[in-house]
Amino acid sequence: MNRITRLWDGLFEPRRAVGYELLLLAVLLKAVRDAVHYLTMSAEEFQQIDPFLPQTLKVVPTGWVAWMPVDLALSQALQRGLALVLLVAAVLWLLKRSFVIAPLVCTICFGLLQSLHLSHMFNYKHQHLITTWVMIVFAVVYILRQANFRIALRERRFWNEAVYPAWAAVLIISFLGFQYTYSGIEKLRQGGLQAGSGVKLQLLVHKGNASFDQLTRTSPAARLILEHRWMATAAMTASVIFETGAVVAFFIGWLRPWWALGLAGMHVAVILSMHIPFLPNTLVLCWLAVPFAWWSLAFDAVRSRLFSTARPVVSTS
Amino acid sequence: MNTASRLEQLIVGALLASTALVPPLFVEAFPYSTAPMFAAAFDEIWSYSLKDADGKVLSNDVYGLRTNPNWYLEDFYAVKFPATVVAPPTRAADMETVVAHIRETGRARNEKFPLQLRAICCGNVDGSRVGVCRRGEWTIEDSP
Repeated sequence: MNRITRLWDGLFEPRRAVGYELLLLAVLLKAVRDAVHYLTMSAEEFQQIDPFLPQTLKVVPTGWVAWMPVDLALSQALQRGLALVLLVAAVLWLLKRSFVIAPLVCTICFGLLQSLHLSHMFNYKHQHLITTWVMIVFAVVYILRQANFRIALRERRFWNEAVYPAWAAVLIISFLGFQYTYSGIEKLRQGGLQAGSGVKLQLLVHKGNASFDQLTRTSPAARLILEHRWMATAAMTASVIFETGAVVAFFIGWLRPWWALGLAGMHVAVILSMHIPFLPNTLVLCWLAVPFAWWSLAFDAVRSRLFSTARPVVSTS
Repeated sequence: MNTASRLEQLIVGALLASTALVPPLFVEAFPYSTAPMFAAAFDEIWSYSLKDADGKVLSNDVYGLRTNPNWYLEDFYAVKFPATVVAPPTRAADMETVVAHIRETGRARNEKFPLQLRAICCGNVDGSRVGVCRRGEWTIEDSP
């Protein structure tokens, strides 16, 4: 039994807030940034996105807005309205002024805005999925643990005690793990042994960096992949292995940081060589790569350095 | 303080199960997905470019010349463009059909004929790198 517990690396233990709250801060800042972006977007900019191009045949709203009439899904007024509500809810959540309404409204508006964004673009990219899921998990944590959080904040125990339930990390890890594993399986299903082909990666990088018939190598990372087949094959094969094994590796404590770093490395390589901004995934993977206990250690070290009268740490786990 | 209520256990259990079960059941159900970008395997990829008699570049979307490496995902896209006649981009298209389609679309849009269609295929060139390995060019008159 002890061996199994060691395998999880304390994953199923309640944790102190610091690591989680840093991730929540990043997600809420992203929400605020999106809200400001949509609120300040001009009508001309809004008209330049895909559904308004003359060659567009039709639009079928996707995601959480799939039930909406097309006209409503394509209206800037709706986008601005949701952005305004999102901004207010995100700020209230950041300031810990609301533990039920703000998390709930913020998550719904954020998911709706992401779905509207996907409904406006052809060739959409899977970069908003993890951010939305993480926000869902935090909203559920805040709503279900509202009483505990209120009391802990009032009594100034929020940052010292293990107030976060163990399942918060489990839900984030499970979503991310299954998403990568299913991606790896799909690549193997479509490509078989060719899933790790270096030629394919070189062609994708080439397409991402080239105009119609010119090879325009814009970054050192792209150049490395384009000029060395063995490197492209190694990178592609490693990607498929890391993706396919993710759900198992994430639940093994000693393996989780390395696996998360491997996948984060894959995204950094994609960002540098193909200019596809997989930043949310990279951020959450880096968060996952830090063992949970380190957040508390770092927090206590910083606090004791800054405030000599810091309260002693009390653990209830 | 950290004891989970029955309701909490039910909600968390449902969310946990959803991470494993929803993606394979629905493929795309925001924010769940089992449809990754760049999943298709290929060792060559084609691109096309079309110009009118004055050298004006015509839209690949309008003429069905779109070559998206994620073509298998297009069913899930919200924004729909005219169907491409050169898919999948990983093999040479039937150029007789493509030329006939371009002529018909060009006539309907009153383009200036003759139209110039160019195609390039990128793939393995020397065992280590990729580059242009085949080219094709077609002049499309108003009448066949």
